Parts: sequence; C-alpha cells; structure tokens
Amino acid sequence: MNGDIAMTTTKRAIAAALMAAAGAGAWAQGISITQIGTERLLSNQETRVYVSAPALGLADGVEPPLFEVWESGDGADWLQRPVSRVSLEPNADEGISFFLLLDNSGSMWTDPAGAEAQDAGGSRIESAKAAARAFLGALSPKDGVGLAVFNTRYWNASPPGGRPADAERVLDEISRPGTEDAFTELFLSLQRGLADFAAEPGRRVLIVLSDGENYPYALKTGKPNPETGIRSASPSDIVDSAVRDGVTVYAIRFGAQRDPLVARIAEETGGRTFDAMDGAELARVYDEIRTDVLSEIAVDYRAGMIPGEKRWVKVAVANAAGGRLSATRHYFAGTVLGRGAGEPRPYYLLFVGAAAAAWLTLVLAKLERETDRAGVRLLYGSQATRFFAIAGPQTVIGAAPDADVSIAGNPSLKASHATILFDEAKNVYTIVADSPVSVNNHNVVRRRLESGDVINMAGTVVVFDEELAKGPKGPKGAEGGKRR
Amino acid sequence: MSLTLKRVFMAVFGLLGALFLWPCLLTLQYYQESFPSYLLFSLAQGIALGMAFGAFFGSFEGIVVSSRPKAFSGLLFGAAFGAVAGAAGVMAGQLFLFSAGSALWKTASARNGVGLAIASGVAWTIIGVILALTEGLRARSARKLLVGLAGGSFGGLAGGAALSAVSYFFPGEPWSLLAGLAVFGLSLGLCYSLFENRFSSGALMLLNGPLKGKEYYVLSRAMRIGSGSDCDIVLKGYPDVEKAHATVRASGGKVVVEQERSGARVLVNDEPPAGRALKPEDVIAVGKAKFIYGYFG
Repeated sequence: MNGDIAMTTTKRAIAAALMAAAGAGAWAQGISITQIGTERLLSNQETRVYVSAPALGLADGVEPPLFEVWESGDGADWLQRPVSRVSLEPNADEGISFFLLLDNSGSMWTDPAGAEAQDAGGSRIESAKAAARAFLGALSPKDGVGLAVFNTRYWNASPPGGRPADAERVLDEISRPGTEDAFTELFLSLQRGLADFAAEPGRRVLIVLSDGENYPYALKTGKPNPETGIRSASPSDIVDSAVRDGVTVYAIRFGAQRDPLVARIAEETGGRTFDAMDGAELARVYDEIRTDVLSEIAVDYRAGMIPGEKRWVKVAVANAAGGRLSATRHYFAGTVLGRGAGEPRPYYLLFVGAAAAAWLTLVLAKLERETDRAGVRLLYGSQATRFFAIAGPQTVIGAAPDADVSIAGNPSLKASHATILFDEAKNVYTIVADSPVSVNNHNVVRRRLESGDVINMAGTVVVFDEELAKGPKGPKGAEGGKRR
Repeated sequence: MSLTLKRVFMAVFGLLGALFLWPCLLTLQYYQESFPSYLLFSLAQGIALGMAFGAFFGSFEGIVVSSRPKAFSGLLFGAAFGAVAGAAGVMAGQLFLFSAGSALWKTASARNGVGLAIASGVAWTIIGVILALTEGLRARSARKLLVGLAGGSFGGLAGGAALSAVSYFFPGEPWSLLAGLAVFGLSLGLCYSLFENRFSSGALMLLNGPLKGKEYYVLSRAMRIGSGSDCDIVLKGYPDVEKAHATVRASGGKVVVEQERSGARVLVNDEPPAGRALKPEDVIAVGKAKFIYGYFG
C-alpha cells in the first residue's frame, strides 16, 4: 500500500515536471495566444486571436508576418482557416481594458519581510498603491480601467471601463481591515472580478495582486462569509469563466508567500505570473504587463463551423531564422447552434414517411359520408347531430315516448307535434302539423320537404335530410326558386 | 367539420409538421460543418422549419373543405411562403441579436449562450407569426390576416420559447428537439384555430350532402361558393351547383349572399336574397346544398 502511494506521488511529480517543462517550452517558442475574441463570431463569422510574440521582434510600421491559423473540435484533427487580417500593436490603437484586483488583507499592512511596518510608507499596501499609481499614470487615454479591492470582502470600488483618476481616488480610500475582514478570499474575488469585468469590449486584462495564498473566510473560520456565505471558487471554475468570456489573468505574487494555483490560473487564461519582493519590482512588473499587451499582434480569421462548444485554435508563424513558432489555446463558441447532430439514421425516413403518409391519408380519405336514407337530425343542444331515420309512409315527431321520432327535453314540444308523410311513388316527403311549424323560417302547416330544410318545432330544431342524388319524382316543389 | 374537430385537426397538423421536420433538421445539423457561416446555417434551419410547417398548415384548409386540388395548391403555396417566412424570421432574429442583443448581453458567454437562445426564440416566434398569416395572404383576407397575427403571436411565442428553451437546456439532444418542435406545431395550430372564430362575421354551416356539418367562417370581404376548386367553399358532390355559383359578401357588419350569375339557384329562407342582410338561423340554398348562417362554437 505504501508502495502504491509512493508510486502515485512519483507519477504526480513526473507529471508536474512535464507540465512545467511544457509551459516553459511554450515560452521558449516565444509565441503565445493571450486572448481569443468572439465578438464578431456570430455576425461576421470572424474570430480574433491576440498573440504575444516578443521573439519575432516586430515593431509597428513593419510588414506583418504571415500567420497560419487552424481550428479543431478536439485538439487532434485540425482544419486550416483563412486569415483575413494581421494587425501589429492593435491594442495601442483600440485601447485596452484593464481591471486591477488588489489584495487588502491583513498581511498587506506588514512590510515586505512580513514584519509589522515601522512607518506608513513601509507596508506592502503602500508599495502596491504606489506601483498602481505609476501604472495608472502610464495608461493611454484610449484605455479603460477599473479597480477592485478584496480581503474577506470584495469591493468593486472603481468599476471597469472608467478613467485612471477614478481608480487613483479609490487607492486613497483603502484602509486597514479589521480582524474579521482581513482574510484573503483570492479565488472568490477573482471570480467576482471576472463577472464584473467580462462585459468590457476588446482586449481584457485582469491583473490580480496578492501577497498570500487563497485563505477563504468560510473554510478557515467555519462561519459563512458575510458577502458570499459558504460559496467557494476553484481555480478551474475561474479558468472556465475567464476563457468563456475571453479575459486574460495576469498574477502578481507580492512577497515571499506565494499561491501556487494562481500561477496556473494565469497560464491557462493566456496570462503570466510575476513575483515581486518590493515596490520597485512591483512597478516594473506592472509596466512589463502593459508593454507586453501593447506589443501583441491581432490575427483575425474566418472561423469554421465545427460542432461542439469548445474549439481549439492553433496559430503558427515563421521566425527570422526560418524556424516555426506556434501556440494553441481553446475558446467557447455558441451553445445553441454549436452542437452538431449525429449521423443521420435510417429511422429518420420512418418519421418523414409517417408524417407524409398521414397527410396523404387525410387528403385522400373521404371524411364525409353521403346520406343514404332519409331522416331528421337535431341541430342544437346536447344531442346535436343525433340522427333519427324516417321509415314508412308516416313518421310522427313529438315528445311522446312512443312517437316515431321521440325528442325529450323540450316542455313546449307536443306529444305528437308534426308528421312527415312519404309518397313512395313520387319519392316526396311532406311535413304536416295541426298548429304551424317553421320550415326555413316560414310558418307552415303543410309543406314539401327537401334535403337540408330546417324545421323548428316550438324551439326544437331539426334538419331534414335525404339522399341528394335521389331527387323527387314528378312535379317540382312549389317553394320558389329556379330548378334546372 | 365541427369547430372542435377542426381544432383537433389543426393541432394534429402541427404535430405532423414537427414529425416531418425533425429528421430534416437533424440531418441539416449533421452537415453543420459544410455551411460557410452561422448565418447561412441558421437560415437553412429557419427555411426548413418554415417550409415544413407552411406546407402542412397551408394544405389544412383544402383538407378541411375536402378539396384535393386546394390541399395540393395550399401545400405548395405554404411551403414557398414558409421558406420566405423562415428566412425572414432568422434574419429578424439575427438583427435583434446584433442590435438590442449587444446591449443586453455584453459578455461573450452570455451572447453565445442565453443571447443566442433568445434570438433564436425571436426568430421562431416571427416565423410562427408569418406562417399564421399564410391563409390570410392566400385568401387575401384582412380578417384572416388578423386571425393569423393573433394566433401566430401567441402560438409562435409559446412554441418559439419552447423550441428555444429545449435547444438551450438540452443542446444536441435529438429527442428534446422533437419535443420542442411538437410544442411549436401544437401551439401554433391551436392558437390559430382558437382565434379563428373571434374575428369572423359569423359562419355558414352546411346542413346536407357529403360535407354536412362543415363550418365556414366569414372572414373575407367576398367568399365564393361553387363546385370549382378555386372557390372558397367548394361544393363537390352537390347537384345543381355551378362552378362559380354564389358569393357571400361581408362589409360594415352586414353579410349578404348573391348569385354569381342569373339562373343559379340561390335562396335565403326559400326566397331570392334580394340583397338582404343575413340574420342568424337564416337558411341559404345554393343549388341543392343548404347552409344555416349563424355563430357557432
């Protein structure tokens, strides 16, 4: 059992070393994808890849090199995509959205060595504020910036997209937290920062500065965080949010105590991790991040229609020495149209065929039936459409149970209200009644009937019906209208 | 056909449209990679949806009045019109996504997720509304257009929301797509038929012969009655009915029936109509066919 554990530990160590080597390899190649923008994916079928390529040594004004772009749904099968445009230093022209996430936990109020600061200016927070001020002062008017401060709590003090002056004002308002507020909610604050920042347009750069490891309040105290309760965030959640919304995270680890996972977050979101021990180093790091982002190259290409939410992109370019540099990263396309269906199945034909057959049946089916015998049909009421056949030379209609056509439910209907006589020789039906009944809205006591005549007997309305093809024999009826 | 039966039929037609369309859409989605862009892929899906439902709903009237030529011409008209409806709906959905949508969903994940789902819902709703207008346009009837607008708005909204919701919550699930399409077809069919009698100037119910029991809503200014299949009320199998026999005219709340040509037997309560407005329970004879006028259902 101990052997198993040892083996597992060894495997982990090898895997970690390999991953570190792979990461170092990516940098050795001198090219990386920092952000993938999908703003124009649905409208123009265009995706933008921001590439950091210091190894190419390109400056604005030179001819952009030829980039090649491939896409893949699984990271294995690649399909080359046409590149529509390569722009050098696009972020200088279009501006960058920065969001600074500043640690204001208890330890930030100690000096760089971790001891209680001797004077107000000697604390880490003051060094961080000074470096942030220098960074804000160097921003271009085209850039947008926001600043959030975190410890146990998260304070989006100067929302993203604002001016440097707003963020600078916030720096002045930062005060030392009490014991309960002094924790380092690093991961939750990163996730909240991403949510606040994701809506900014263009190039999105989140710079998180922390002097310690993730030290969540709920986990360490067993009490719910005053703002987030028992919620927690894992590095993979943060990476997922950042990749989905196209945000690059740069991590600055200030001081000797360093969170190991924040480096993974930075790398997997296209950013980098910097370590700084004092204010001067901190200022250089901020400047390096800004310069890095400014020197990026934007490669716009026509995106493919690969099914699947997750897509991999690979860019490649030749360097001056004739070598080949490449980088790979993934992004997320739409969910609604982005999922492909499986291979068409034979049973699909059954569905199409069944629907078509049902339709054809309805078209061809004779839904109606000819009347093949004479009779009366109730027109209204609960028994509407009930048919009473008429047989023999004389049919009595009335309320009496022994009437030939006995209709119950109408107290005004007489026991024997009307009689329909049938002259078989002439094939003629005639209605007769003691007191008038209405036929086609005319009161009559005797009248020859034809198919479709409406008979109203004291409110009971019936339709007389007979076979249409069998016309009456002999003289035509006298009820008016022309017959042919 | 009674009103209730007609409603059931309309719902069944919606279901048939869904059954027919489902494998077609899945096949289209299988070939997603062959499409050069999302827009063309969405357009193809919208056109397929419009054509299938348009064809089934378009043939409905012909089947209801038992006129095969009318059913087939309705099928073709419905499919062609449905294709246009599908394209227009998808374009409107895209337009919505890139105008209002960009203000509503600013992050990439929201835009590519819920934003796209709602834009698709807008597209399906608009397709539903335009599909419901088919019969009104075919019959050139303002009332039928109104029925379509009301029925299509409700049905399209309910069906479009259902279709979009299943695509969003169960992406790539073929059976949920079928369920969404079925709800779309059902709600469109039901809502249209629920509104059909609301805007009519009454109805004519056939009292005798093979089509007895069928109700014809007076929804246009002029409804032609005859044995010809181009008539609005086709009386096949009735003696003494001319190809174009009579016309029912509705204007200013008044409905009258007129001979199409002299000699054609047209009577209202056994008397020549003489331009009198029809009242409920009037009995109208057209050749050997008899109708009763009124408000049914």
